[in-house]
Amino acid sequence: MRKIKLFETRKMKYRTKLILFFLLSTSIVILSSLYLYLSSQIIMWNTNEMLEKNLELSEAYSRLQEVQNDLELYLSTSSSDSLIAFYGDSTALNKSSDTLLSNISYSERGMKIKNAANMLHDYLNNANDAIEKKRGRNITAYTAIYEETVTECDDITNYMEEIMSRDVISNSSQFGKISVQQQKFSIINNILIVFTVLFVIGMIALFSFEVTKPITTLAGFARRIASGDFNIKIPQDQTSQEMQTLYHVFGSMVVNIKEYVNQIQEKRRLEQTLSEEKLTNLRMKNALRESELKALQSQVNPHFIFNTINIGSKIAMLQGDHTTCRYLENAADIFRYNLNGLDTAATLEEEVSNVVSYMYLLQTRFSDMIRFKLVIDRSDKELMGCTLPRMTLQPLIENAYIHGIGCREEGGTIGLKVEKRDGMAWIEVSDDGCGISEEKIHEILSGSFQDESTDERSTTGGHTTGLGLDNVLQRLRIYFNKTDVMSIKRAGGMTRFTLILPLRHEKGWVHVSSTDR
Amino acid sequence: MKGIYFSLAAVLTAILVMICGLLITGRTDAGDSQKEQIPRYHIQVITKNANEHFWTTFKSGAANAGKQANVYVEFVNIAADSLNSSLIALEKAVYSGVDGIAFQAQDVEKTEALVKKAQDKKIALLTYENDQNYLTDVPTVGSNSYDIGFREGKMGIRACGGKGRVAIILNGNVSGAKGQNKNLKLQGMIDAFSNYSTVKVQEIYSLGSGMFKTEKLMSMILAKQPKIDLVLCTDERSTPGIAQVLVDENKVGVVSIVGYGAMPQTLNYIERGVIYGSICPDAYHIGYNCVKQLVTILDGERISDSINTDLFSIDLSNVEQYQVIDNEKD
Repeated sequence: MRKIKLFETRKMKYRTKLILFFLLSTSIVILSSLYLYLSSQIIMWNTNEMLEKNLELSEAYSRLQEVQNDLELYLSTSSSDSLIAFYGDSTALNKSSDTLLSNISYSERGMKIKNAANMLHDYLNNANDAIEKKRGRNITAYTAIYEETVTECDDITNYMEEIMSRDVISNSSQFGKISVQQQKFSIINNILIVFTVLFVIGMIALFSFEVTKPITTLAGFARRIASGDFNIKIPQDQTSQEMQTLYHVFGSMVVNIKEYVNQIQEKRRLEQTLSEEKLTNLRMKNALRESELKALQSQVNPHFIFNTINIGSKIAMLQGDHTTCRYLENAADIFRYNLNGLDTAATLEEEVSNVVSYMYLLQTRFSDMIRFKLVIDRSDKELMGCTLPRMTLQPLIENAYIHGIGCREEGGTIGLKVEKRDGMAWIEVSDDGCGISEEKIHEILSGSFQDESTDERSTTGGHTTGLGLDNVLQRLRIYFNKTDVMSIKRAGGMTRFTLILPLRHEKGWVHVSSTDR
Repeated sequence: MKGIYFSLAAVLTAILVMICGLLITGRTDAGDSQKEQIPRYHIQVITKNANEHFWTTFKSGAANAGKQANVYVEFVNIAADSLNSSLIALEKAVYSGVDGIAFQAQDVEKTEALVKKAQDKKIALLTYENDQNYLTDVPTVGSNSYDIGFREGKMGIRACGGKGRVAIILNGNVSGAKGQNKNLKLQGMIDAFSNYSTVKVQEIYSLGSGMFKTEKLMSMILAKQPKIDLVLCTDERSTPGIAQVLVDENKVGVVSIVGYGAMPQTLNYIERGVIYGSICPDAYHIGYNCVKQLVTILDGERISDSINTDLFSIDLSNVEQYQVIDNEKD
């Protein structure tokens, strides 16, 4: 069965609701006042009606006596004054009886009034007849008619008195009814006033609460949002169109703000990551510039020196001094290798060749004090072709020489072992020198180690490239984007620096071959 | 929210209903309310100011006839058995210029003068229960007094088994012209007893118009006539009073009563066997026909000079049925 809805308050606008409420409330107050007014008016009408209903009859009753007196006076005295008075009073009486007849109702009292009025007319006719007969000096006739008017006057008087007597009884009863009615109205009016006041006040309070409830609820949600609690579900409010819209929009706003805040947080996180990356890059650039600076400090003019050494080697070759020639060639190779810059990559083969040249210089210089042992499979193209930052191995060899066997009078052996293991390039630089403490190993790997050989050039006698272990380690970590690129172990009198590098590395610096210069 | 509006609307409606009720019922009836229809004629019926069953039933019949014919029927109550009041009431009615008057003529001479005046004013006249005070050119409606007496006599014979001593109580003064109708009733009774030599009328009494006369008279009859077998009464109001005296004197079953009228007390005594029976005029139809015949005259048609109405003989065999009929008429 379809439910017929008179009006749907949920679809009403706030303005309509307010207007409707105030209209209804005002109407109740107005109608209550109207009821009070009407009840008092009705009491007044009933009282007036009770008092006024026999005014005309009383008037006619009084006139009748006057007419009869006038008639008797005229018939006995024939005075013109009494005749004039008779005509005046009879006209008034006639008018009264006409008024009574015009207002009759077909009720018991109404019909009695009608009878009285007709009797008055009949009486007046007889009285006029008597006057006429008197003026016509017909004594017998006017006497007889007068007798009849006396009887008739008595009858009418009795009849009217009977009606008025009944009216008095009726009025008593009527007054009783009016009194009861007045008491009843008084009670009803008092109850109505109290009820209306209390009801309207109650309705106003209830309506105010109902109207403001969704706003208060919404304000509560707003406070929670203001305090940062976005995990709220805004329910659908059905109280009015505006509230539906407001709740819907507020709900959407909460969702949007939540998304916006999330986006901001994500952006912040990304920016932080970016900042960290930038910082890393800056550090890397700083390391490179530091390396370049140190290289520049150690190589005042590498091209000039390289050319000078190269020419020196050619001169030595022309003069037949092959030892000097080879020495200078190796030195020139090292300079040439350095000329490519530290921000370029080199193959493992190039790095190994550079180390071999470097070791030749050291062995030539220190004869048999330094022994160099190279283990490598040069036929493994993949291993030999893997790239790594330029000047990675030479500082490690240099470190093995300075800090390893450099502190021993009898010298020692520096080993370089390159092999492929588990898809990785394992490059091991070892020495049998004085060793390294665990604390230093930890400092080197954690990046807090300060290489004295790079800072205090004088103590090393000028046979370093100026690049420290920390520089090598940082560049390797940046290049391969991984931290575990180096391990340092001391076992069996041997100190081993092992680089474990990927054979293939996509992100890399520009590879510049040594022959490019 | 919806509840608030419904509450407001409900209270508003309630106050509106209260206001409507106030406007409809607030005005007290001043005893002068307008009738719905304007009546065709105004008829005055001069009746006795008595609570007797006859008059209440008579008025009921007249009022119903008035309603049916859309005629205003005004009842003018006069003192019972007051000749002067009757004449004054008739006189007032004539002066009032009503359309029709139904009355009982008690003084033919004085009444005829008023009848002439009324006829001059073209007022329709009719008498009822008035078969002995006959007025020239005035039709009458009612039961026949002789029939009443005769049927009462016949019922009395049945009551006493065709033999016994009878006391007759007539209402009002029996002597003179005023008691013509009562004489006719008496004549009817005598005629009824004429064939029964064993029934002897011991005494004929007349009731005065005063109160408490019945008890006094009946006590006196029982004292003077201890061997009385039957009492016949032609007065409606006196019938239950006579029965009460018999009960008080422990004469129930010793003295039979045949009364007049159908007052509830009378019917009750019949039912209990105190009163043997009662002769009752059809008061309802007398009243009804009064108005109906006057309306016929006013409509310009002629009617019969004398219209007789029924008489009912009520005894133990039919009293219950009569009570039912009577209640329906009321």
